[in-house]
Amino acid sequence: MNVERAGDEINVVLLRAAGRTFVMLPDKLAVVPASEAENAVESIDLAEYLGISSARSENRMEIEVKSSVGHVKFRAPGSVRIESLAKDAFYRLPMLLGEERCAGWVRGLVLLESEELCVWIDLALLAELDFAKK
Amino acid sequence: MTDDAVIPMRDADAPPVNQAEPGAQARFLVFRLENSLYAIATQSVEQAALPQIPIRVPTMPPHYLGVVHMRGRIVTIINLPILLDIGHDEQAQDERLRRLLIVVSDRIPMGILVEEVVGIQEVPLSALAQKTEGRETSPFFGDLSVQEGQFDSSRGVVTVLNPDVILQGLRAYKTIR
Repeated sequence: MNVERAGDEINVVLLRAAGRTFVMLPDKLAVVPASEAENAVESIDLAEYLGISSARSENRMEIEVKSSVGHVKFRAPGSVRIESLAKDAFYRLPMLLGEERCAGWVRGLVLLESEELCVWIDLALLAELDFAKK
Repeated sequence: MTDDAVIPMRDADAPPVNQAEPGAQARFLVFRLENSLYAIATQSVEQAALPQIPIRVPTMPPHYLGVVHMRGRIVTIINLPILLDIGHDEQAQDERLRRLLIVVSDRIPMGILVEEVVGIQEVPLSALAQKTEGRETSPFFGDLSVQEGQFDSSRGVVTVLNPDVILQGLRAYKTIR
């Protein structure tokens, strides 16, 4: 995915699933509908990592990530869209939820223009951690 | 206590409870949580606001409820019943009375969702009974005493909590992943 940055804005991928929104930087991502995804490659259930459960009726897709352990696919419910956000919409995790208490792939928080607060996740890092766990 | 959305109430100049002179009085914000009464010194309470639903952060330990955005900053909401090791009452609470307290220690804001803000009570420090009955079994606080004492109110016995100890407990409690 193209990561064009204009001034103080940055393009992000918003994953909307189970009534929540998650933010990802698009530079290492490719998103395809689940029906078009190759079935041969094992994929990781992102919903489990995010702690969400989705309705059966919800769309499903696969998000492919380029990481240091190769191309990894995540199965995800919901839908995605690309949006441009101001850089000052990004927040670090509060100190209490900092590095010792939340996994490193939970990068921070993002406040959308709609005032919705979202979790910013790093799928490349999650892919590496998942690989290391196996 | 009114139904105002945001009630600023921090007495920034008031001395901490444990540094007040003998005979002095302290002001406490009294609130209800799991059908018990608790209080925190008003100098540690920044505001009592209408509650927001906290955003859950993946891999966050269960003694946090999530985060909210308030006035340009992110506030972590702590799960005080878990920290205090008190049971959760499944009885439906009156949602209209619920409030989000923003408590500050060491300049770090902590949100506490409470069932009701009862009000502010001024109490002579000499009236603070040091008796605390067997509730300090929570692993979060170790040898630290999160309960500063108790006093009587028209609605029953109120337990005074020390937000500095709450913060110390949270900082000390490591979650290994």
